[in-house]
Amino acid sequence: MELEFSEEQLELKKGAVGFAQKELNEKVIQRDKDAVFSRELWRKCAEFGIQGLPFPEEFGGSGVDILTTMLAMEGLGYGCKDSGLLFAINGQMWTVQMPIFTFGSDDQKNTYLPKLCSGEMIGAHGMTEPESGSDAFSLQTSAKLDGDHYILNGTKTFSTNAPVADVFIIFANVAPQNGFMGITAFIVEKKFPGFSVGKEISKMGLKTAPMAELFLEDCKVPVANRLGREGNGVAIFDNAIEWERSCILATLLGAMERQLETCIRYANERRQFNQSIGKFQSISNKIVDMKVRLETSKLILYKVGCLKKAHGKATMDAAIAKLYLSEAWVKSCLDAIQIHGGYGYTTEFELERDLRDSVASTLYSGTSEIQRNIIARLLGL
Amino acid sequence: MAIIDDLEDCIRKEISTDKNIDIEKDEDLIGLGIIDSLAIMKLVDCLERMYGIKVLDEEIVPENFQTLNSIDEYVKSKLSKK
Repeated sequence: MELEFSEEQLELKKGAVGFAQKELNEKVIQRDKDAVFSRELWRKCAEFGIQGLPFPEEFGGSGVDILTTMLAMEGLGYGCKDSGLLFAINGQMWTVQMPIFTFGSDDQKNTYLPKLCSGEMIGAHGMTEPESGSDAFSLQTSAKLDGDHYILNGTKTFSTNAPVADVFIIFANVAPQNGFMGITAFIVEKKFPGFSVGKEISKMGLKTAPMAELFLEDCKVPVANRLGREGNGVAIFDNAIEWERSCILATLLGAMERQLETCIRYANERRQFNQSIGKFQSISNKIVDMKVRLETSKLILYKVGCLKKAHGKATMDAAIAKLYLSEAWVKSCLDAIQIHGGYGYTTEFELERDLRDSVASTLYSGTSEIQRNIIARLLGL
Repeated sequence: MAIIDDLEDCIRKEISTDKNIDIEKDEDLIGLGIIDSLAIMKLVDCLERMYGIKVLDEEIVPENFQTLNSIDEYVKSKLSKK
């Protein structure tokens, strides 16, 4: 595993840090409080090139490899305190853009990718249903072929970006007798007849990433908007979710590093009993644990990057990375609050927001329990 | 051993929870729940290791994975293009 990054890669990461610190943090406490999504910041990220990072130049991207993408996302996570915004962007990149790029026809790529890379369009993903969460492939949304259209019926929930999105990747079953092998992906535009978005779902954290239900009531989707072949949905979903598990966590690495530095600074400056609190082992041990979690997280995630770059797939390692990083992030957020004492519990110190945001990481892209199930099955258990 | 026998052996040993299962060549592996959504990823991994082929995501469709016969045909077609 080669972990020497080039000057160019490190420059990109540094540029992402500087961009995020300068452009993305204004009024973040208020935006979180009001649960406001910022289209302006979304566009700024697109102009900087975030949404286009791994996609070819012909579609408005930069065409960089997965490790370079991870480094840029890590820099973004370090510089940007708005985890909701980064979550929303990651959601689009890995579960909308990547499936279109990987499985889409030339027409589909040309129609959607340039606008998604440029920020002109926003994308969302519709897999989870009210009755199928972890058991995602038991979804009930149906798709029936009717001439040159499919007719989709069903309800999706927990769709990140849905209230502001223009285009959706929707999973529906075209052949229930084939079980999970009937699942098929569709590109659905919000203007398609029979498609509507429900009211925004209020949640604990990631408040700047809007989320809603989706309703498909005899929704007419042209055959040309089927993504991949009939029955290819599971492979498309698995491919997308593996990308998401691999890259969404890179922003957490940056956030963990920023939080660690904040804690070190505070532990050195804050004095109690006539000495800085960092001199107490009860504090320094917590900071050491945060550092160890950060470094192990980096190794696990970079390994996933190396494996995907070399082989295209890293199912087991992506699950390990998702499980470890998300749980490490929650533990470090709790430690950061404890180190800051009462101040850590206040909104002003911005650590309570990190904690609220971090809990979501053990749930999205498959819960920690599902990651353990995947790893166990791949171990032959 | 013929490919189809290798496949049955692989499914019995590495995929199915019932290690003594008898699988008919035209039996619906998906409909009967012998292959589920995670098992198919393990099966793909087995095929790539056993036959040195690359299973593309777009090839993971019912036509190629519904029965032992269809997997057998799929593997043979991939091997013929190597």
